[in-house]
Amino acid sequence: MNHSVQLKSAIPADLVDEFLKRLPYISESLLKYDLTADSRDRVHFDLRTGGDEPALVSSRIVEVADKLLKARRAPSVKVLASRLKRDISFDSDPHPVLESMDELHRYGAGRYGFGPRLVRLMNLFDRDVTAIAEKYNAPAHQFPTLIGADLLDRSRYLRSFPSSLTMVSHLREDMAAIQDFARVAKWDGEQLVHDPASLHGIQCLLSPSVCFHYYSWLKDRSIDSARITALGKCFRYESKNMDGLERLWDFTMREIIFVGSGQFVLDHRDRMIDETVALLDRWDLSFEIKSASDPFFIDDYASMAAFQLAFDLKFEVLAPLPYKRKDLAIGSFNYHQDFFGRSFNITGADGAPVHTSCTGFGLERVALAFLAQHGLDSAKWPASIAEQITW
Amino acid sequence: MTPEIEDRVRKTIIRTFNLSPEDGMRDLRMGSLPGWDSLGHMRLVVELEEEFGVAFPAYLLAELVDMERIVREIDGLQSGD
Repeated sequence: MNHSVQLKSAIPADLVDEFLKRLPYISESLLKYDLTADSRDRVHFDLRTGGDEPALVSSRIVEVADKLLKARRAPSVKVLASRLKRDISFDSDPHPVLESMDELHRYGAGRYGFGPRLVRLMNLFDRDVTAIAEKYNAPAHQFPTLIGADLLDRSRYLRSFPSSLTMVSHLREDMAAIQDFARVAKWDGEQLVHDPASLHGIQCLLSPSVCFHYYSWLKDRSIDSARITALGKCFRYESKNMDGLERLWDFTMREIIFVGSGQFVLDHRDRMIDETVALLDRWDLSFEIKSASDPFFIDDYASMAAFQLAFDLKFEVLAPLPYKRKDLAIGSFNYHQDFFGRSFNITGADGAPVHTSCTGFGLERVALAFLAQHGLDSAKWPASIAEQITW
Repeated sequence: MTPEIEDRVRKTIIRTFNLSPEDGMRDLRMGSLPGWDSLGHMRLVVELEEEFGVAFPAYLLAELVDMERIVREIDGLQSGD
């Protein structure tokens, strides 16, 4: 690569992925980049000609590293469950085979369509998770794909994860603007040609999560406790990090949500973890459940990540992808303390803000992990799945 | 509690969250002050580390939620316990 920049200190091994995932956002001119494998203290990169200057991009790379490391402390990762000993004989990438079977159709980066077999498989996984929700008397709800900017502002999401937002707009109610748009709008091979002035200001976004809708639903209410489940489309833009079914822009999430006292939601989060271990054992998946942090895109990333880890706010289900020799997060268990209770003025019987937790599964990722570990021959699948689906 | 450490911890909390002297005399614990939320907590941890020249191990961060516990842990770290 043509350019390189020396970092002030080496990126710790456990932060390499987090660091590299941030680099696509520093400049539209950045084409390729890599961190020196051994020393992890120098980034090599290529730029598109005519774009940002190498010095500017270098300074931004150093800035990202500095912010990532600011106030960082050695993580104390907790492992709640480990089922990594299962023999996995399959180690091929399922994507090419799924595409050749016409079960997977790529529309663009992070956007895929699914054929009948994949849909049945994901529905089966969803049914099994929904059965857990039913066991805990969590009735099904349905929420819009659109989410109000006001709601995401109140949830601090706009400030915490700005890089992943997907804005929605429509044309202004102005005949001249509508006619002008109709006259010039066309696809130029990279983007839609239009006059941005014809667009209305942003009121809605595509929802990045399911549970925010429910906290907004409960706004200004006093409740003892509540539990629900919902399936929803979620949208998180991840730039060059979007990669097959591993990292989608547009994905499907099943969530089970608990609202109540701290004790109530933590008890139920523990039960969800136990239920999930039993479920993944039935699916015969290799996995671990470990403490984790969210990919905050803020100056205080290290602080927020340390806070989440220290207070056990997030645990992830990590399933190995043998073809990548890498783990994939297929689900998570999140405890928000009383953050949403305060944000949406939801109070408990004692008048204090309620606590909340949610358990979420990314269905496309669950399907990918299953196929990556078990292969595409249903005769070799665990009985719990093969009895219901034959490929 | 160690009076000297307690006094410096209280002043650090007052400085970190920009409290009035009256508010600074209240029961100081996480959640009792508007600024002592998740981000505020980590800001306070960094301020305390700078003030006392100590480094809190990650497993302790969730325990540092009130004056008494903070003072006790700083006392322990300074005396090498």
